[in-house]
Amino acid sequence: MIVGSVNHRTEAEIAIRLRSSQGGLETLTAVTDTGFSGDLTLPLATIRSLGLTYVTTEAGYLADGSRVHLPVYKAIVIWDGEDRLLTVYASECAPLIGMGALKSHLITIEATDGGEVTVTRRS
Amino acid sequence: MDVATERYFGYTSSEIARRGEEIYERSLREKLEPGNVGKFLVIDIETGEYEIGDDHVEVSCRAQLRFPDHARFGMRIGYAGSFRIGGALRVMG
Repeated sequence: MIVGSVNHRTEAEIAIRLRSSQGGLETLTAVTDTGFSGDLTLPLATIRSLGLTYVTTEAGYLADGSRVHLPVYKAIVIWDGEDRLLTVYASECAPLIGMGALKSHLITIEATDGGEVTVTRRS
Repeated sequence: MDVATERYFGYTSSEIARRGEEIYERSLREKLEPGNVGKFLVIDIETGEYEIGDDHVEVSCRAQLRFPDHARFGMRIGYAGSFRIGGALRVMG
């Protein structure tokens, strides 16, 4: 089970550990976002510092209806103790974890300042 | 460092998307769209070759390994976009 918390902006955050191309590990905080269909977003500078590999460019939509084109990379995330391959959209917003990564999991959010967030794989 | 101006094999993201969409409309839509709505497609924008499948991660990585030296456009067949950040995705038509 992955455990996180709700911050003072009422955002449900979890810690994400990613493997860098140099063999290291980087831990960062991502906001769980059920409005995001993909796996993960990261700023381009973070993607570059991790040395992630570019895979595709895709066209998609933001909440205001605007259409954007984003580069997509691949990353290995240590997810609940196991290596997991995810795709990462380059975006300058705060890191997001979306429904692509959360598929087949049960997510609970205690939506109060400091409340608990849990992400549990469903068999 | 700016997502909009960053280049991949010489192309910006908008240029890759435009070329990928042109290839799809010109050469692939008629062949692929019946029976493949919802599947993920990655097009090599230099050759027009492609990879197709159900899993976004698997198809993206397979295309990156098969077309390592060319920019690649990914899309979901039958959808106006392959991702959303906010809002909801719907099949076209």
